[in-house]
Amino acid sequence: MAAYVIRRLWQMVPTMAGVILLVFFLFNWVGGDPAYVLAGLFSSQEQIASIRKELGLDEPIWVQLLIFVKQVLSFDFGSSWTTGEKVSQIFATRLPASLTVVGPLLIIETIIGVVIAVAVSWVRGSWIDRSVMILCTTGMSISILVFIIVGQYLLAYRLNWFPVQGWGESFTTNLLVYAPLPILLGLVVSIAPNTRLFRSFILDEIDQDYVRTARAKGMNEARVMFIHVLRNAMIPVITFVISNLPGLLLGAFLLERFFGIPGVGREIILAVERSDFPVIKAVTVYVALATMVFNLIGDLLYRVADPRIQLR
Amino acid sequence: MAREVVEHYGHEAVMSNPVGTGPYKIEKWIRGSKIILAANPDFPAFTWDFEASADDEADKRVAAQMKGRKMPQIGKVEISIIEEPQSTWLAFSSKSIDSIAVPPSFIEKALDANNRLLPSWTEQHVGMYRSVEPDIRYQFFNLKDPVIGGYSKEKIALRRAIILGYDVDEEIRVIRKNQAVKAEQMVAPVIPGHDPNYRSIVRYDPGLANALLDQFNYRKGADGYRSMPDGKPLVFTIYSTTNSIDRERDELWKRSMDRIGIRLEVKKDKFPELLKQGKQCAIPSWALGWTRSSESEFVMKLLSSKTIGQNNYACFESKEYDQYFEDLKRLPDGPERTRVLHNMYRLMEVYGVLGLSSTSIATRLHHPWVEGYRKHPLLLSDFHLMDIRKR
Repeated sequence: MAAYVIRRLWQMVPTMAGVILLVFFLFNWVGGDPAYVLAGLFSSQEQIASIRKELGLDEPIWVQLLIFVKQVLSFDFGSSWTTGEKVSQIFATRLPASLTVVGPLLIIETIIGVVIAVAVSWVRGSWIDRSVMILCTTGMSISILVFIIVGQYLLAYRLNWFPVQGWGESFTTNLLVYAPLPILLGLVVSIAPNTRLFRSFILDEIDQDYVRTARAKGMNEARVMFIHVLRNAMIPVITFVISNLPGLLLGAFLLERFFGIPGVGREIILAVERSDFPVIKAVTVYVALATMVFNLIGDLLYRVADPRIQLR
Repeated sequence: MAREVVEHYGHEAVMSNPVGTGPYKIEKWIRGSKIILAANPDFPAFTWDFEASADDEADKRVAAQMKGRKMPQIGKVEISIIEEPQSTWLAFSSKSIDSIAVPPSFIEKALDANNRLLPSWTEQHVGMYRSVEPDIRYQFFNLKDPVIGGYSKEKIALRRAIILGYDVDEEIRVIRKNQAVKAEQMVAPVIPGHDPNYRSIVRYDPGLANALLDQFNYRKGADGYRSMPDGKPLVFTIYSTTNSIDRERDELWKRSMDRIGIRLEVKKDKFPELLKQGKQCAIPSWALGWTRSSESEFVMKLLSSKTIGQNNYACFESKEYDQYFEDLKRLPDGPERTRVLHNMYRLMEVYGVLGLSSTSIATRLHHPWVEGYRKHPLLLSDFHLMDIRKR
């Protein structure tokens, strides 16, 4: 196991090198010049040149690349070009807010998705199964914006069940007061595609020979479903959940924006709009790293789900 | 601000480390979410003793309510940064925030067609404060552009026809939801130098625009679009960003130009790129805005030839204008300075350098427990002039 983990960690090095090169050259090719944003409408070419010098943008391209590599290795991406805030400070202060919403959302949506998928797979082909699938398709056709706008208006403003928006300073207050509505709306959006997907994973397993054999041996349906089918179906479920984790942080930006959550998703969108390269660089590197680490965790979890799997 | 502060914090960090002697100190700042201000104990207390305007009943009520109070009264101010209009509006409606600037997309939920507060709000004793803001929006036309630029009569006629053909009234009515007034001059209301009696010679008049284009041989082809006097195709290009207001304006520009037979091309780019290209005189036309300048000189600098490459995005060069600008810098406020400003406005109109569009009107609402609410026309922080009653 240890050898496998070390080998996988070692394999991350060339992948990360590819990410660094891609991000660096893509940004230099298509990204706007931040010196113009910082200088503002009323600025002379001298002021712009001075800002470019201050940001290191007047250095040769290979020097800028070396600085970037050094930043990645030291995890010190400097300060935001537009706000002057340290990039590490941005992540340290915004990530907890995002995780307060995304963490519970991921856990709850996975559990509910699996439970509903198992239930409808159990009665596959019945009117219940068909009705749930129609509901899921309908739910998937509606934009997340509609869910947020209607949910905020109805549940927070009209029924006063939740605050309309806001974010406090205590984790407990945020989790119990401000996060429930964004989590609920995130659930409403994600539950439909998750249920359909997880159902298909289960149905892929349900017609396998080993399931027929288990039934032939006289095993009851509950044991077949929960011990045999679900354990095998969990492998693609784990892959899906793990690979979605980094993207979920970025994808929550609409929830953050509507509910005034000072999260990382909103910061990333702003950074892209403002060509704030230090933040974009940090995000890309962190997300790439998180994706690789989560994939490794996912592979390790396969073995937990199915001990027959050998990690080589 | 003291020089030592700037030197200590440096260019990047000085704005996030405010140092001063004002009535409030930053207690907490969650960027992009909330700013919490606490009363500065070292700020000298003063007595609220302002005179109300003789013709303003609301002002009189505020003066009667506040006169004699020791200020500042509010110990803590929480400023919520809410980006979504719906969230702002619902937060105010559910009484979780005390006052707001009504988002333009929700203005119809607050005001009737005559811009009066709706009965549902007056019944709750919600107060309203409307003010013309110290800002202007304009579209510049690049005098160095190969299609619309130049100082010859036919190029001037082309730019003036474009300005005459753009439906500013529809922009105010539809895009700005009547929460703006037509800008008549470069210097915005409230700013010293603004002359409320000045009227621009430019009005929306597609008939006149068409006549002008016909006179200078911009002939219409079979497809209804005009060509240049030398027979080459005429394509007028505007640049804009991807935000929703710009998208709406792009459509209005298209409709307006179609009415006078000018083929329009819209190019989209990011703000930094537009700034970069604008400074290089490479953008034919783009809409910009200007807000809260404390002096007319700042805004009039926009067309000085010395600021080409800085903020003269129209790349306008006129010795006459430059001379007026020097006079403007020299003269104190008064009739002579006003005349100089009028001359500068006229030059801008005659050459078709900028098409002024509008100045915004802000509608601010506050719940009845907020007392003394009057927005300062320029200062963003005026909480030390208000009070708040316990709910």
